Amino acid sequence: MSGLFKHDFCGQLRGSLGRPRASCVLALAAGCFALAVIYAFPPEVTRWYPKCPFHYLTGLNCPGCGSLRALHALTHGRVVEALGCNPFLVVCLPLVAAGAVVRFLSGLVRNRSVELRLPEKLSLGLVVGVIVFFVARNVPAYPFTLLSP
Amino acid sequence: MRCPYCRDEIKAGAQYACPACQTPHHRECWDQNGGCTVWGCAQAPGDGEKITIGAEGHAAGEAGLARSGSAPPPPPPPGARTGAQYHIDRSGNRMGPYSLEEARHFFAQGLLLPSDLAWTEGMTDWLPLTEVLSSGRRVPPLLPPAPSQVVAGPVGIAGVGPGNRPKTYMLEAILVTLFCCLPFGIPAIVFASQVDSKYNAGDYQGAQNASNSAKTWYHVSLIVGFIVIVIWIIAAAAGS
Repeated sequence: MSGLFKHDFCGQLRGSLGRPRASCVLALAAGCFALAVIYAFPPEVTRWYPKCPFHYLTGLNCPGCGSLRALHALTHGRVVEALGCNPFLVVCLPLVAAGAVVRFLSGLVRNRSVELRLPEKLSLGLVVGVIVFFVARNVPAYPFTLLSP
Repeated sequence: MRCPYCRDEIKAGAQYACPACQTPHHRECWDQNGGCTVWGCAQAPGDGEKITIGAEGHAAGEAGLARSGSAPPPPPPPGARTGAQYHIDRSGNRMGPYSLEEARHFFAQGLLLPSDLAWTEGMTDWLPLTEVLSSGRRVPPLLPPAPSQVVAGPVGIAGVGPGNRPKTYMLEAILVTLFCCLPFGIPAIVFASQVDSKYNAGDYQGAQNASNSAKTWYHVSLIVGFIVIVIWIIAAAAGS
């Protein structure tokens, strides 16, 4: 079967020449630009930052609420504050960073974006975690209010 | 496309491609001609090897006339056409289909290469020709992948099967849940987690479906989030 895998790779390479490399460099540039903006402008006082539409419409906290504030705190090194704004983001950050690095390097070096595959248990944990997080942070009782900004 | 022998249209599925020059023929025309109609092709018959047709009078004699000296390799006997039809793929070029007998015959002549891939109905995946010729083993039927399809970078747009996992889109799903601030990212994460678990359980079609669903929800999240951001920025600019 090794011959088949080699054949597949070459076929993909021919079909995608140039695109993964260009798109991963573009993604890196966009990511850096976004981080720079978040570092420079604090979300609380900057008026043109988009606010969460879900929160605006329903008053509830979606799993993404506080992510901008959390990122801003992280870029300034304040991890505890970031945890207070959006703990899900802080917990997922190493995973996201690892996945992004793998994609970027494979796209650059091998001209083919490789996905970092999580073990099944971790994926399942992520699904359960995000749903539990979504529900828990909307509970108005004490310990759960820590999950929201 | 037209058969170069009788000039009629070749219906899909009725074509027989010359193993040397890949020109499609009708199988019956190939048999009548005794080989390839293309002038100078290695599979074209020499003088005297053609089967005469009688009243129809196709001028098939031109094919062998001007060639001198070298004897072309004999085409496989007509009886060898029967049996399972094997498609051949060489770096995206499709050849055949040929029966196992014919494929063996062409392989012996060097027209088919050991690196060529073969597939017949019932096989899970393309296999190197040498494996197919030696074992002729069949595996439980699943959808055949198509290694000659052009893929745009990520694994998984080509046919899914062993050795070809669909993309999970997990990274995209997480990012979109965190930043597009809408609950549409959650179904994306759910489907993304299903891709690998289904794939490992052998449910290749289910894994591909989960991958497609994850991609769809990720796109929905992205597009709606983008629209909302644009509306917000416009509203903020207008209100100030």
